[in-house]
Formats: sequence, structure tokens, C-alpha cells
Amino acid sequence: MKRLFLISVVLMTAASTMAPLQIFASGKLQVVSTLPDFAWLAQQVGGDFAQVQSLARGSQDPHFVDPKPSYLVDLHRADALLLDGMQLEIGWLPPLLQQCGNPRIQPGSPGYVDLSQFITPIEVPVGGVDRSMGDIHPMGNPHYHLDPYNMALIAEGLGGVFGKLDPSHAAQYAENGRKTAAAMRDLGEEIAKMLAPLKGEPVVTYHSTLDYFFLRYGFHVVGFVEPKAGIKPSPVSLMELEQRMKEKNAKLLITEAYQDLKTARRVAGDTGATLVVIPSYTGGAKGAETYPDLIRFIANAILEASRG
Amino acid sequence: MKMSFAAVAAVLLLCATGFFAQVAQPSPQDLQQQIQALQAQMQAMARDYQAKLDELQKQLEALKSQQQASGAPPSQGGVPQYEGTAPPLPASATGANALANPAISLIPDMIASGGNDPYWLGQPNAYMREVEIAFSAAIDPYANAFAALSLEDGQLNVEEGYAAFPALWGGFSAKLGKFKADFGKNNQMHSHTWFQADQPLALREILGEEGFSDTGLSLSHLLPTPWTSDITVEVTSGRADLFGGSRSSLAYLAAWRNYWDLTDNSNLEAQLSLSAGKNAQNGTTKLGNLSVTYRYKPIGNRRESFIWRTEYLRKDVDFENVVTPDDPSQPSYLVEGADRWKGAFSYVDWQFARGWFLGTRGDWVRHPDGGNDSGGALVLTWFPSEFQKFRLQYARTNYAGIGMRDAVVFEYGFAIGPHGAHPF
Repeated sequence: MKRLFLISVVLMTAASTMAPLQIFASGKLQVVSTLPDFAWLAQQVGGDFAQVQSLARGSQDPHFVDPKPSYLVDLHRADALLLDGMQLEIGWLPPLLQQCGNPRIQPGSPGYVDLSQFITPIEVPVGGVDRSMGDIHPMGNPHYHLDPYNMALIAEGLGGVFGKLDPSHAAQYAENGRKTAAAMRDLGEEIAKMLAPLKGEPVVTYHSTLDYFFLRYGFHVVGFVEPKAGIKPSPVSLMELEQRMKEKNAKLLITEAYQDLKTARRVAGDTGATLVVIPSYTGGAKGAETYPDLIRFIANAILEASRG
Repeated sequence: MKMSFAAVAAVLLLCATGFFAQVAQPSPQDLQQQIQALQAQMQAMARDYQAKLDELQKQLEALKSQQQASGAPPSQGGVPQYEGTAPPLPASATGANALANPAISLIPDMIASGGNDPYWLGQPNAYMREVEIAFSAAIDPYANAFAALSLEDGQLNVEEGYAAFPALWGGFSAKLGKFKADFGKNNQMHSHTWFQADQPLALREILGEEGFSDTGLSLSHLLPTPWTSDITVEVTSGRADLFGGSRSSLAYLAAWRNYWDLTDNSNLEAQLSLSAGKNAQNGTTKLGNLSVTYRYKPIGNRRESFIWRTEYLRKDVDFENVVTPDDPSQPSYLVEGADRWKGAFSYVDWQFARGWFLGTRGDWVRHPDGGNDSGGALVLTWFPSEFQKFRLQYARTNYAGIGMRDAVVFEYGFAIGPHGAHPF
């Protein structure tokens, strides 16, 4: 047993001496993003000087990602961790940060980059918040990535953040940040023109994932399939929703692909609404491999469904 | 003096001429012309101000829409209409609370049991098995604190209470305090996260009711292997009921964890843990655990998952006893020996709908005297939300020297407070 203990001590000493050699690093700024959308954006800003990876996949519900040990390797070597924040990752990121052994990305370090600092949140709850309200996010709706104008603000912010982490390329990061932000604003305008005919359209959705998108493009959200955030619908809540959909003449039910589509299909069937299943994160479907493609995919899907 | 007088007089004269020139009666045509000029001036000013006001209005609208949804262009009009969502509040309120108080959670666990299993017969027919009170907060930029106090049978025990140092020099992470030993996967789980209503028989009989937890230091480091692998070394006090050596003897543990993503939806984890420490019988107690876990959880689907876990445990208690015979003429002699325990369990937990899980478990333990306990359990669990759990379990166990016994167990538990994520 003593021998075993000694062996492990030797192994750990070896590991620790190798760690400062940056055995994994490729000379580029190593960036890990919790979500694929921010990974795409960070790659635009980081250009050739950054290597960016996403922990969650685009088809995944980001509230429920398993904190897999394989993420530890990416986090261990990261120079920057980009997170959505607003408690979106509270169920899985803390144990990974605890175990990754990387001081550069711990909360409070320059490499810990909570991207919600760059945007203005919506749906911040008033007064007391408790779980009778469902899986409520006390700091507001964390799904701000579906508004291209938010992505523009984040791109500009990342230009500065990367510049601080890697000052030798600060000018390039700032320039890329500005260019990416301009592209995001153009994308926002493009989608606004596309969806102009649907301004004020009453819609129903599953979870509050698309609220920033709906807010930006003037949709009128008349109800959610979930009676409260993260709570499974009951027969009574569905009946009330269907009634409201008929009253408000909501003809579109828009849902993320990872939700319970059987329930969504039933509600759509009962009310004569068209079900629109969309990817809500970059890479969540074929044809949505980049962020602009994702936004266009969503806009097109809604537009086509509205035309019947 | 003369000069200045002349200057003042000249100025006064000039002013007076100007004044009287103004006061002098103008002709009606002059007046009309003046009024027209004034009107034109007024109209020009009004146009100018209107243009400025319009410009300001535009800027204000642009600012407002930027505030509402960050970065909207001025052309973005229309106030969005919402139903069923809460209105806004400054986000700072939650931040201030987080600084003042640690996150506190309360996790009660209630049990009701029936049948003739001796383990459950030793418990009340219905009781509050445990109320876990968990605290967590950052201590300072270098360490986080976690404490799980367990209120059982009117007694408050420290189940875990440690400072975690997530990022030490050289990529190490550490824990200092009382913690659940890195001895297999199941040993580290708190009772409210178990897949069954009770711990597997092997853990209960070989490690004791409280499992393997101790006070000391734990150091972990990732290994530079092509797969995910880390090693943990723990030096602890050598807890009395598991080791029980003298004050100067410590217990040591080394754990080697390996993990592979098989696909996006499935993974495999294997861990070897070995531990040793001096015991009260002048010998060494050695413990070993081999744990294998397979998980299937399709990403983008919360309605199905599957986990299979198997652990094999060993405990060797070597002892040396000096025996002094009753007859004083006979010399004392040394008795050396070892109590060897072996055990294993294997379980699956299959999620067949959102919140619904069906599981089964097989148990086996071999006592030092060669007797075997073995059994199996069938478990149905329902989580109405992530914070509430109902469980029904039927177990049948064949105890050495006792025979076949049955137990039906109902468990209900909930969690309030921001109880954070558990390690994978």
C-alpha cells in the first residue's frame, strides 16, 4: 500500500511538472464556450489567433447538460471560459470548475467571461422569487443569444476581452469584434425585413427560449406549453392554453426540437395551429451550422409556417 | 482727469442719441416691415426648433429601444406584447443576497417500510431518515466552502464539511476537511441522490452505515492521457470504526478514474480505489474498490436515459494479537490472521418517460466466516420535478443464517433552496 501511495505521488508530481509546459496548447488563445452559439461568435472574433470549443451541443437543452469528465480536459487547458451566465449553467458548470484545476477560468479571474454582462436582460422577476414559479431564473431570461443585436454587443465585448488576455493581438481582436458586430447588425436588419409581415402575429411557444427573438421581431406571445418555466404541462394547463390560443387566434406553435414534441403536436392538432419545430442553438439542425444560418433557419421556418 | 471726464461725457452723449433715436416715432410702413420681419424670424425659429425636437425625439426612441432590447436600430418600432411573463426588476437584488448569505438548502428524506427484513425491522415503520442541511459559498477568491449537516434521529452530524481549492499551483485541486472518500462512485453519493431507497448491501456491511468518509486532505490532478483520466490521493485521520489505529496512524487512499465518451449519447467510466490504514489490532486494514459505470443519455432528449453501475469491494482486516494463556507457565504467543470481506453490487436505472425511472439491483456480500448475503431489488421512482421524489422499492434478501427476507420501502424526499449540482 505504501508503494502504491508513493507511485501515485510520483505520478502526480510528474503531472504537475508537465502542466506548466502547456502540453496541450497550440500557441493559440484557448477558448471554451458553454454554448455553441458563443463558440461560433468567439471564433469570428478570435480569428486565426484563437481555438474555440463548445461544451454543449446545439441539439442539447443547455439547462440539462451532463458535467462529463471529458469536459475537464478542455477546461483544464482553457485560457478563457465563455458562459451564458444568469444561472443557465448552474446545474452543471460549478462541479466542472471545481475539478478542472485551472486558475485562469475560475470566477473572478480575467478568463471567466460571463457574457450576460454585455446585454440587457428581459423578464427579470419582480419581488420574491421561489420555485412555485417553476425553474425561474432570478436574474432574468438567459436565452439572449437568439437576438442578433445582443450577439453584436457580445462580439464587441469579446474583442476587448480577448485583447486583454492576449495583448499581442489586441488590435486584431478589436477589429474582428467590430466587423463581427456589424455583420450581426446586418443580420438583424435582414431578419427584420423578412419577418416584417408577421409583426404583431400571435404565437405560442414551449419554453421562454425564443423570447428575445420574439421581442426583437414584434411577435405577440400569447402562451407557453409549459405552464411555468421547466414544469411539465398538465391536462388542465393544456386545456387552458388551447382555449387561449383559440381566443387570440394563435396559428403558430413554435417549439425547440428538444422539447416534448408529442404534447406540442397534440396542442397544435387540437387548435388547428401549425407546429414549427426549430433548432434553438447553433448546430442544432442540418442547415443551422453557423449562427447566421441558425437565425435564418428559424425566421424561414416561421415565415413558411405562417404562409400555411 | 480732464481726459476721462471728456470720455465719459462722449459715451453718455452717444447713448442718449441712440436712445432718443429709438424713441423717435417710426412711420407705419416701417412698423409693418418690422412686424413682417419679426414674423419671418419667428417662423424660421419655430421650424428650426421643430427640426431639433424631431431629431431629439428620434435619438430618445433609439436609446429607449436600445435599452429595451440592447442595440436596436432607431427604425425598430413597436412595443412587444407579452402575456404570462414577469415584469422586470433590477438584477442587482440577487447579487447582494449572494454576497451576504451562503446558499442554504434543506433536503428531507422520509421512509416507510414493511416486511420482515431485519435491517428495516430495526427502523421505525415510518420515519424521517435524514434532513440534510447543505451550505455552500465562496470563502474568498481561492476557496469554496461546502457543508452538509445531517439531522438524524435528533442528532446533528457533519456528513461533509470542507473547503475546496479548485485551482492550486500546477493544476491541482484540493479538499480540506471532512469529506466522502473517493472510494467508488456510490460511496460519494448523498442519500438523496441514491438510485435506490438504501445503499447496496456491500457498502452497508463492509463500510458501515455511514460509508467511507473521513477528515483530512484530498488532492486531485488530471493526467496527460489521450482519454480523460485523473488521480486522487487522500490522507485522512483513519476513522475509528473503519480503521481505528492509534492517534499517530493515518489512512491513505489513491483513486484512479478513467472516462471515455463512447458516442455523443453514451459514455463509460472505470475507477480503481485503494486505501489502507493501521487498525486497533496492530494490523492493517486494506480496502479496494473497482467501479464501472455505463451511461446512455441521448442529448436533446430528456425522456429517456439508462445507467448501469457495478462495483466490487474488498476489505482485508489483518490483525496480530498477543495471546497470554491462562497457565502462567506457558509463554505468550502471537496470533496473526485476517478477516476478509468481499462484496459486489450491480444496478440499472432506466428512464422510460420524463420523470419516471425503473430500476433493479443485485447484491452480494461474503463475510469473513464464508457466509453469504445476497439479494435483489426492484425500484420505481417518480420525480414530478427535479426537486421532489417518490419511490417504491421491493427487495428480497437471503441473509446467511437467517434466510430469505422481504422488504417493501416507500421513500419521499424533496429539496428546497438552491442546492447545486452534484459531481458527475
